[in-house]
Amino acid sequence: MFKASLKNKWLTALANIAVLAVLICAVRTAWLVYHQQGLDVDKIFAESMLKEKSFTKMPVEIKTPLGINFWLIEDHTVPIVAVSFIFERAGRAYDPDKKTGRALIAANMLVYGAGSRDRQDFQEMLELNGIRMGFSAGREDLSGMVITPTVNQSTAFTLLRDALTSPRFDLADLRVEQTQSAEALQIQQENPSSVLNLAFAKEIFGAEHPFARNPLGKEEDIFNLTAEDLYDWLKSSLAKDVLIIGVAGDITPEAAASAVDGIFAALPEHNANKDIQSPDIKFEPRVKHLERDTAQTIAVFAAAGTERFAPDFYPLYMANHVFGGSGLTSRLSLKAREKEGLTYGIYTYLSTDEKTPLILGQFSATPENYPLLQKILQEEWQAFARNGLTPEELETARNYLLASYNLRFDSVAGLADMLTAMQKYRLGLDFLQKRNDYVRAVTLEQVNAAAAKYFSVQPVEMHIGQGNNMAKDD
Amino acid sequence: MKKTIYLIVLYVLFFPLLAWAELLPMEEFSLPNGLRVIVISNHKAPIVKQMLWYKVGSIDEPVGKGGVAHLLEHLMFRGTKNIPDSGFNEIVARHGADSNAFTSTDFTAYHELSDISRLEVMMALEADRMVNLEFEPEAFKAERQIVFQERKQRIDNNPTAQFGELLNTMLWQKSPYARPVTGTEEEILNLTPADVRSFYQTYYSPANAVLVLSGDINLTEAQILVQKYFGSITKKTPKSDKDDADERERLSAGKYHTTVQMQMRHPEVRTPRVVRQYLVPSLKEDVRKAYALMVFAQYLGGGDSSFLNKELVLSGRVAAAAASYSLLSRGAGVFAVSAVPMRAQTALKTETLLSQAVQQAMNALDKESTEKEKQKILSGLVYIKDNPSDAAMLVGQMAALGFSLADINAYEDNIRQVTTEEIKTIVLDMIENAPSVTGFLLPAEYAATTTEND
Repeated sequence: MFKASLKNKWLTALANIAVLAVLICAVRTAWLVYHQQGLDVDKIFAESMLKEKSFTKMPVEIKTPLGINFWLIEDHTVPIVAVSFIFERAGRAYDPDKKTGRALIAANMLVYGAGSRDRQDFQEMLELNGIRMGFSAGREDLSGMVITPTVNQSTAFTLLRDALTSPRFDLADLRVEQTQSAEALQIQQENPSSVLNLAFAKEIFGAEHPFARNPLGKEEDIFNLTAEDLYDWLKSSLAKDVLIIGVAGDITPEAAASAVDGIFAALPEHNANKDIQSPDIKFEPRVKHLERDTAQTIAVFAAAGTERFAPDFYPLYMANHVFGGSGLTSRLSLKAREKEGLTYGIYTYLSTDEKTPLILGQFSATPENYPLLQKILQEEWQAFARNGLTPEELETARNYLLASYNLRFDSVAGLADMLTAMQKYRLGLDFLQKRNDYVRAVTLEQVNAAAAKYFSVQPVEMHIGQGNNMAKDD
Repeated sequence: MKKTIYLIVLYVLFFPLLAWAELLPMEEFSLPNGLRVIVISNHKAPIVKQMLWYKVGSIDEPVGKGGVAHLLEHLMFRGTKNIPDSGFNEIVARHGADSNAFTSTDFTAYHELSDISRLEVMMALEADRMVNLEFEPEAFKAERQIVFQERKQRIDNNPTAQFGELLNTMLWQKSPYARPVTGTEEEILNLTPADVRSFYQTYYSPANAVLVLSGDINLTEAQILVQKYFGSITKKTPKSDKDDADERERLSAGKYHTTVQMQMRHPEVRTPRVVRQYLVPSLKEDVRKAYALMVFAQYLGGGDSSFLNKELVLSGRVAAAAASYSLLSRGAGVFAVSAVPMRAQTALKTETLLSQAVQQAMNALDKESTEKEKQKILSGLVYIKDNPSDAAMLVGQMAALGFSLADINAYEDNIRQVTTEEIKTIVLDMIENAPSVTGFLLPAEYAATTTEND
């Protein structure tokens, strides 16, 4: 009995252990099954079948037989060629007083006929050959682009040369352009965002600075423009000493050099426009209100930023990415959008122009949400200056920048534009090889120093909407 | 054996034709669960665009549940059983992908542009949220507010968007296309988690989707990966896979044969606009007619050398004019013309000029101009091979409409085959018989009907 009992006990214990073991096994299996069903993203990435590759077509710098420098990325995968270019000191801010709207209208009209071709001939030639050509008068630069099927490249380059060197600016076409600019001025007033941005430029840059002008120009100036004014712009602005060129796509270095000479060599040597002084921006925190009957209040804001080639560019860029630049995962977006549902969008971005380095931002929401959003912005801004980023936030931003590196190579036109931007911002021919090292080298101390420096002062803000229900500034 | 020879002969005969006719280098396969997969190879850069198209949009919403397709699209970023809360967005950000989604009347599409080394992660995430959606009540409430704010921002802050919505209502009358994709304010605020879940259960499944992979990837790689991540998802008979005739009947608005004129006045509007929209065949309804209308839209308002620009704008008779044709719809297509009057002219007079110009364009069209317009479209087709995202967008939309790769690749052939007579027939039919809406967007104080001497 005793023995048996002992044996029984022993057996029971054994059975218990066995049961326990089975249970442990079961739990463990369940745990494993559960976790197998879960997604181990890091494991998926580590065991990924498709491995990282690098984009191997690196830019080269070429000097043409006629002495023009340009950058080229040769890529024969798609039978198209893109030429992107910038003329600095040729944009809207260089329009003389009383001639606002000049650069914009002239730029639009460069594709409205040149040499012996009138607007119809010129445009039809572009369309029949699948050539896309366009110019855009920016604040300080005139930028332009031609994209062409490889088979039609010589036509494209001839038309581009004619557009730059012998545009017609025919009177009838000028009248049409003036009419359309005036209509665009009316339509601009219909849009609360445009009205806000026009007023905000005045607030930031000072009402008299050329950067505060309406991008379309003044109506009376527009209607007073003559073809002679447009030729003045052409002669004084489109010169070789302010020209930056990027070529990409299905073209050899020799053919590209000959194309660049053919297009640009006949341009004047020197741009005659006097450099514009940087605006004197007062960053004292303030909130301005524009009254208008709108469904949502729209707000824009600005604070001091840094230039593209400044040593703290990458630290501030990464700080901004975390603060408001990364879309749905930024601090602002998580707090104001994801958590509270107060707005469809709140974001910040950097303007890295030499003359106006800024942190800019925007949000909009129905009027009752506006004070809540403004409070979030102020609090997050202050906390960011004081506490900076967490190490995890910095790593996420770094991972994003490293992993998204190749996305910039998605189109031939994009490649050509990238080449002009690299030259404009003096990033160096080897920028692409070095870029990820720049990103890797940024430390938490640097990013937090940038956050402390640029977020220590609250931004200048302006909003448009019904009633001035701004949050108390205390 | 006989068959093989026959095939070889065919191949030899048609090879040159196929070689120039190919729009894009594409291949496709399907999983047993019904997921259709299209692979578009583009080896320029080591990146890939993944686009998952669900064949469901706002026209499939139950009456009174407007906005549920769009709210569901938003909630697809708010958590699954495996990746709760904002995990999706965090992972996508960590892996450097650009991700977004959109809802239209006809489709809902989710897309990620990423480095190829990250494609597998993106695919795992996309497959996961096809079946495992699970959002918190707080996330639902926040997201419903977000889509409400989105509607306020996109539509209510913008008089031209309000005008567009009104035009749409009047053009489509009782068709589901008449309803706004966002839903109305009232509908949005009354949507429940159960509404969203039911819509998700009904429409989100492999057989109701098309996956497009466009970029630095080949068919074999795609087959392995898609099988790995989407292969285990259970087959479900999709609800929207109903009889084509039923679907056409439900979506048809042509049966109403209405011609509507409307004016919208708005205190913020500064300059009048005139718009006319016609309901016409879509690509899905009639391929021949659709390609003919595509060529006519190009001729009428496709560029600076178009008929409207020459006749109305460059001659100084109206300030601006345009034409467009949207053809990638499960229901009818929409052909639209629009104009901005000169300041000295009434909107009504501009509307007359616009109507006359459409008629004149049709009359003036001859073989030479038809060939020219076809050439303009054809010479630009090469660009679709450049950016993998553009290719994924076009092919995804066509595939979601049920077109085969051969159909899609026949784009160029279809353009070439368009004749002047075909265009004239369909355009005349449009002018005389198509349901249409003519709309005037006017400043509050504008006298649209003022008579003038002209």
